Amino acid sequence: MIVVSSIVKKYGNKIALDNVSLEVKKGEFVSLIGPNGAGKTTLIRILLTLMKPDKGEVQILGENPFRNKRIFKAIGYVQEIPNYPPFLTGRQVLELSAKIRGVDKSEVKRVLEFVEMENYANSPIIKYSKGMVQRIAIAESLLGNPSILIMDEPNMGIDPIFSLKTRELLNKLKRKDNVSILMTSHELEDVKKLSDRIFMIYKGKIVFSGTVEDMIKEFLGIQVIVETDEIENAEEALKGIEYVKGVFNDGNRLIVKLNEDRREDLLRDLVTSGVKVKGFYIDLNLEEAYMRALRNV
Amino acid sequence: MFEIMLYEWRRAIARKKVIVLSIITFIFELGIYLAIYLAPSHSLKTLIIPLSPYLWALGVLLPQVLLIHFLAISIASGSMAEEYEQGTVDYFISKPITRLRFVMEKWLGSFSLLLIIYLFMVVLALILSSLLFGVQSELILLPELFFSIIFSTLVFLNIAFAIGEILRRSNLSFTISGFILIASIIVSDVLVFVSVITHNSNYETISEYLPTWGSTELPFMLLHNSPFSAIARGLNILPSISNNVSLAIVSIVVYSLIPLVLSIINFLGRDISKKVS
Repeated sequence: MIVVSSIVKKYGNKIALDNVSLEVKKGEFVSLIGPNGAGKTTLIRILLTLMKPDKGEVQILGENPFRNKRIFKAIGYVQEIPNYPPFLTGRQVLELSAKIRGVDKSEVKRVLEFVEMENYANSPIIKYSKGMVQRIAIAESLLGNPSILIMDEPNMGIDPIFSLKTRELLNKLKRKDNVSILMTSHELEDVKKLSDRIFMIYKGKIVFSGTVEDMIKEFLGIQVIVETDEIENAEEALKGIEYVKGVFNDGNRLIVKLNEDRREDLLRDLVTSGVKVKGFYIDLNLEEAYMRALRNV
Repeated sequence: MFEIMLYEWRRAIARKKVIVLSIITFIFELGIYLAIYLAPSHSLKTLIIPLSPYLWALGVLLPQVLLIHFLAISIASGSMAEEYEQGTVDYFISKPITRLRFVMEKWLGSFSLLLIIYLFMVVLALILSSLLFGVQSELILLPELFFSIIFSTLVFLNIAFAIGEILRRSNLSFTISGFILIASIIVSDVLVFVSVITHNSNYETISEYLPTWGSTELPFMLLHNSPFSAIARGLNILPSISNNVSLAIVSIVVYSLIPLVLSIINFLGRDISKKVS
C-alpha cells in the first residue's frame, strides 16, 4: 500500500532523510518512532506531497502520489498539530473535506458522532481547545472509510479516555477493515499495543525495523518475567544455568535475562526444580529498549 | 469543483482589512454623490447640470483612481500567504487536489471576489446617480468601462498574490505591493508633470513602463472624446498625454502575467515546510 524506496531529503547541507526505505502492507499497522527532529514528520510530509524528495521514490496504492493525486481520496491524514481555517466551524471543515474528497455529506454526521463533537460542531475552530481540534482531525481522517491512514502523533493533546477510544478504533480498522496505518508517535504504549512492525528513525536513518518483540530482543536481549510465591527457591534454581545471563529480584517476581531464546528450557528447569510458577511471559519493555537503542546509535 | 474558490471568498471576507476597505470605498462613493447633490455653490451646480445624465460614470470610475487597486492588494496579499502563516495549506494539499488546481482556484477566488465587490460599487453608482440626478445616458459604455477597470486591477492583484506566495508573509506582501502602487503613481505623475512643463515626451515615455501606467490610465483613455471626458479629466489629475490604448493593454498583460506565472512556478516547485507556532 505504501512503498518508500531510498528516499533522501536535504535541508541545505543538513540531511533530513538518508536513504530511507519502508513498506506498509495491506491491513498492516506500522509505527515510526524516534526522537524529535529524527525525520519522521519530513517522511510523512513527503508521503503527502507537501515536500519533494531529493532522491528516491514513493508509491502509494501502486501510484506515484506526486503524479496522481486522485489516490488521496483513499487516504486519511492526521496532522501532528492540526491547522484548520480559523473562521470555519468544525462541521464546515469536515464538509469542505468531504466535498474535496468526494465523500457523501452523511459521513460528516457519522464521524462527528464518533469523536463526540456533535454539540460543538457549529462553533468556530478558533474557539476549540487543542484536544477538540485533534478530535476534528481524527474525524476528518475517517471520512469516507479510507484504505490508508497516515497519522502524525494522533493522540497529542487528547484526554486518556478518548485516547483509549482512538486506540480501540485503530485496532478495529486494522483487524476488521484491513486499513493500512502508518503512525508516528512518542506514546510507546500505543506503539507496543497497536504495531505489527516498528521503524525506528534517528538522524534521518532507519536504525531498526521489525516487530516490537524483535526490537526488545535486539536492544534488551530476551527478558522473561517469572511470577511465583517462591522467589528465593526460583533464584536458587536458576543459579549456574548456562543460558541465563542474569536474574533480578523485582519484589514478587523475577526478571530473568537469557543469552538466547530458550524460554521453554527455562520454564522446564524451574518446574523440575519444584518452583510453582504462577506467571511466565516475555518482558516487552519497549520504553527501555527504545532508550537503549538511542544510546547504542 | 470550485470548492477552493468558494473557500477563498470566505477567507478574504473573514479578513477585517478587506471588509474595512470595501466599506470605505462604498462610503466614499456615497459621500461624493451626496456632496455633489447637496453642493451649496451655485456655480458648481451650473457646472454639474450638463453632466447630470453622465454622473453614473463618476461612481464607476471613482474606485479606479486608487481604492480598487488597494482592495485588490488587500484581497490577494493574504490569499496564499495566510495559508502558510496559519498552516492550513497542509489541509488542502494532503487531499486529492493538485497544486496547480489549488493555486489557480485561489487566484480565481481572489479575482472573482474583487469583481463582485466592484460590481456592487457599480450598481450603487447607478442607483445613486439615477436617484439624485435623474435618468442616466450613454449606459452603453458601461460594459466596456467595467471590464477595462476589472482588467486593469489584474496588475496589482497579481503582484500582491505573487509576493504573498513567494515571501509567504501576508503583511509583508500588503506593504510591498502597496508601496509599489503608491511609488509608481507618484513617479509616474512627476514624470508626466516634468514632461508637460519641459515639452520633452521622453519623460512620459519612461512613465509608460511603470506598472501603474496601464492599470490606472486605460479606463480614462477609453473615455477620451466621449461625453464623459470632463468627468475623466476631473478624476485623473495628471493624465497621460499619449493615448495609446494598445500599449496600455500590453502593459497590463505583461505586468499581470509575469507575477502570476512566477507565483504558479514557485508554488508548484517549492516545499511546504511545517508551520512552526
